[in-house]
Amino acid sequence: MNPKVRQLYKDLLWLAKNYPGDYPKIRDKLHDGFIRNARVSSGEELEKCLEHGEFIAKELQSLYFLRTYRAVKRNYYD
Amino acid sequence: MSSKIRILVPVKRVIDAALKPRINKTNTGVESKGVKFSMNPFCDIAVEEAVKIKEAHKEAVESIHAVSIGPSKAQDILRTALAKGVDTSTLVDVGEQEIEPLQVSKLLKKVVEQKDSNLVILGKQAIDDDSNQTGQMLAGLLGWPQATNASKVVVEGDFVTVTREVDGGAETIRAKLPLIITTDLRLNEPKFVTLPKMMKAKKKPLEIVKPDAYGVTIEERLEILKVEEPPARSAGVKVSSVDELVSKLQELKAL
Repeated sequence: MNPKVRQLYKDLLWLAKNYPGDYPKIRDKLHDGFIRNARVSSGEELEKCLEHGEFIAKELQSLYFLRTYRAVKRNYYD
Repeated sequence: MSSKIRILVPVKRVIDAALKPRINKTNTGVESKGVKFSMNPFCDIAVEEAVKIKEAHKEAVESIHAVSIGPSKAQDILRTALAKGVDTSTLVDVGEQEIEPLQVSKLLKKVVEQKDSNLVILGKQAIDDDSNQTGQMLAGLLGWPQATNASKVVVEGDFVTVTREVDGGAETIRAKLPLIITTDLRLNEPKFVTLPKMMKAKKKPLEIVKPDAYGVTIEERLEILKVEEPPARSAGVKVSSVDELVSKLQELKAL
């Protein structure tokens, strides 16, 4: 496995642990996503997939920030 | 020549902000078993601000030290703080008991003296006990100026300009170091920590001490008698016509 892909999978798995709801569910979803692109091994297509993965990671980070921000805002400021 | 800034950031481990806490069976607190814990959101903002100040003033800021007063599991919170860019950390292990703000302030005072800190950035309050006292009490004990509810912090040499959130507006104050700053929600937007940063943080120093080491004895001054949930909202009534709505409102003397 490409080390970049492995690292991305690990990073996303770490982020997934904080995803609201069942951890096994999101883990399987993440796994499926990687399996779906298993035939991609190099070149432009791989770059595109990695970019998409990093995009998801950033989205998750923003989601977690907003989740806390909104919860605190609702409880203390609204 | 201005002196180096040594920042201290106290952090607290609390039940995750996004969760709805449940009251325990004996009505003396909230259920903490099997619940996800994380860093208090306001402390998270304080850590982020300390790191931002360090990034903006690499020359002036010597170090950022994080301290947590709580159970041994608060190590996870300190690791998160280290991953966010804090240099060193201390856990004052007080076991599972909840410590009152005055005791926390007394312990923090000792840590400030030990670490020779001259800027303390802390969350304005913890979302579990909502005391909003620790920063103020620490300022009192140390005899330092304080800037509470900060929404903007600008460091220029030995002086810090802080914009505070006050009722219906903002107040800008300026003070010379040493200083206590407590953070408000809109100060910055803390990022969720990534795995590579978390792995690197494992090598950073985390020291565990007992409160006795600081010569502070923990004594409870308050006794929690009862904790209860706010009353549930009663159900509304559906009306079929405007006339009915008007008569209902008249019944309630709203018209």
